[in-house]
Amino acid sequence: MSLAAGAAPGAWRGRMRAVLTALAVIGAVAGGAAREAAAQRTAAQCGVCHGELELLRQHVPTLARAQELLVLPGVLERSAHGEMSCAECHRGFGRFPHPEQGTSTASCASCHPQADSAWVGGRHARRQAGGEIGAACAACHGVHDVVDAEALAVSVPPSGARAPAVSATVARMNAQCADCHHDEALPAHDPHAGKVACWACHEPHATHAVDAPGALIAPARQAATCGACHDSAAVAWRGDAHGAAVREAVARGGAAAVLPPSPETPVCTACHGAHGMISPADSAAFSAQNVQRCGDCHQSWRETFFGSYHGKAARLGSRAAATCTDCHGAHRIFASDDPRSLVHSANLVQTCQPCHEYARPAFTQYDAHPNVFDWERNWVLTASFWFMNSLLVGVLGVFGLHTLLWWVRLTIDKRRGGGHGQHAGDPRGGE
Amino acid sequence: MAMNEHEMRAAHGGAGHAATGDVPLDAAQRGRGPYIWRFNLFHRVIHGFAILSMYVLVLTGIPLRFACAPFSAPLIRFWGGVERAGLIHRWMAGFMVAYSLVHIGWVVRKIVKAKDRKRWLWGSNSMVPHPQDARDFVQQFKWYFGKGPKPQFGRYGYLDKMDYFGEVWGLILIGGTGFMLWFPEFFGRWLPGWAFNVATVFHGYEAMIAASFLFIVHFFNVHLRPDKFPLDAVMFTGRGTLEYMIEEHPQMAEELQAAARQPVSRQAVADLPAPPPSRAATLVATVFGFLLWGIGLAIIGMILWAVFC
Repeated sequence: MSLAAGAAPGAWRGRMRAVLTALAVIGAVAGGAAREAAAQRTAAQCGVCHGELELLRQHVPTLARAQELLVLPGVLERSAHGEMSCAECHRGFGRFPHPEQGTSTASCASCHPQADSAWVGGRHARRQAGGEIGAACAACHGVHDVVDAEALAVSVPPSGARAPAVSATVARMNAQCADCHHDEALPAHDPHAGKVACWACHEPHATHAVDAPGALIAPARQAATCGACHDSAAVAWRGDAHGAAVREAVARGGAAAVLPPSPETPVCTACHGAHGMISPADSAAFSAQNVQRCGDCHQSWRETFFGSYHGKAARLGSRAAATCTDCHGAHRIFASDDPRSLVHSANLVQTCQPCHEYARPAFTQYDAHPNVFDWERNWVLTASFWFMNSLLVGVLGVFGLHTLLWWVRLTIDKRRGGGHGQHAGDPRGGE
Repeated sequence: MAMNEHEMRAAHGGAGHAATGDVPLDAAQRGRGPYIWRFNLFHRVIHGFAILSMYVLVLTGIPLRFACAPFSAPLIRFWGGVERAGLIHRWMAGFMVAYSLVHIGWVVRKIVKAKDRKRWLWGSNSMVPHPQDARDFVQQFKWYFGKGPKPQFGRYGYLDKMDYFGEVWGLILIGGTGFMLWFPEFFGRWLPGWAFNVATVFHGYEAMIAASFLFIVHFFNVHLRPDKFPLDAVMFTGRGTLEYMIEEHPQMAEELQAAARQPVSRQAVADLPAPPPSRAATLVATVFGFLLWGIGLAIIGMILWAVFC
């Protein structure tokens, strides 16, 4: 289609302008060394037409098409591709008039082969190839306003420092992910919200489903992924019982997927959750979540915890009551017979003292997970439990019967026309 | 003395009173007069303290005992959180110990100063448990099955004594374990930590026994019995009609009938004739009585509900 072909008859001024513009473009094309020059044609030159919606509108059939062809001045120049000419992506369209056939599909792979080959193996590409909704380069990176890869690099704050808010570029990209993954956008209370790019945890090109073995958050890789920022926690976890359990499971060929959570996968997210995680700074909610999440694997311990004063108070929202991590620690969890464990008998005094300042060794024999049914755990407790139950049943049984029979007797008497006053004046004093 | 409204109605031949509502709500105001003093102000105030502390202690403790029950979280919110509920529970426990000590002091002083000490310690006038109480208990069951007359209680029947000594036992057991749990670090110097696990079991179960006994057995005996329903306010107003007194404490009948011929005493002196309770006192006693047994029965409901959680 030539530039003049679609001009509306009668739009005299527009036509004049179009003709003049066309002459200018033709002049410019003729002035260069044909092919080479076309490749170097700048956005400013193409923008003579593609930067003006009004002009485009006169030469293409629909407004929608005109808007597709429009590239506002400055957009490309400000992007990561600002130094590039249009024809480097739009091959063959550097010449004017443009070819009648073909589309101007840009090929990112020619410059970004690594990203492309990673993408091809990822879920975004596979879904697209299978005819489902996927996502190609432009879906995330933009078209002419393509973002600078350097601006997207995951920045790791120095140890101990709080992560700064992400740049506007990263925020824009995160929002772009959320355009498709609406349910996965981080809620405002999530400590990662606005501070971490999606691709810090989810690989950017070779995208995986969350439960895929290759995902950055797969059990075998998660500690490294989260540890990029939370290094001390990751290091501690690797050395504790949970880290060992995951390692062993992976070595056996298990723990392939992070979902569903299982005793084989006590990784970071098993306790902390992922999107919408609760900050440890929100201690009450965090503790409540710990009791739930720890208890998902350690069910009997959660039940017996709820039998203790700690558990009952915690269940009712006490902030002071100790919960799992207060006694067992967080990333240094070991079996209670391991001397490194905070609940090992040698360490208990120290473990209890933050709350019970005057704790002595005898004091620490308190059973934080009492089980009244377990004779072997503490027979005195079990015996006390059954004694008090017997007393309860005995007292209420005898006096419940006493009460019931009384009611029956009086009801019968009343029916027979006796009732109140039957003993008045009938004192059997000497009995 | 002036007859009260009910007596006047009774004297004027008001028949079929159960159907027409002529019978006073307060069982202690029914029947032939005059009124006789049963409880003096000290008894009634101590009993009032006991009610207050018992209800607050149960309602602050029950959410923790049954932390899993659906009513616990709202009840804890009502108290303003676990810590606040715990604080109120402990203050109430301290209050209970305080008035109990005052009461014990009063009893000791009364016995020491009594001229007829033997009457206080033994016989139909005494609070001390007797072999007769065991015989009365058996007799009560015989009566249930129509195999004998109703047992003839003195000033205090075996149920009154069970209420009283049940509270003494409860105070020692619940109070003792409660203090252990209040100051675990202090008691943890001598006691092994698992003693607090045991104390928790004793504390919670004894509290359940106490609450169930009070809100089922005591309430039935005092208020809900068909011949007393809906309530008996003798502990609130301090007095009951002669007929009521003899009905409830037949062994005292002779003494009571002799006392009834004495002049009316404005002061609450046991066994002396009393003026009828004022309308205001009756109203207050009735409202409180209903409120308290309503809450009490609700607590029984809560316990039954919680058993299934």
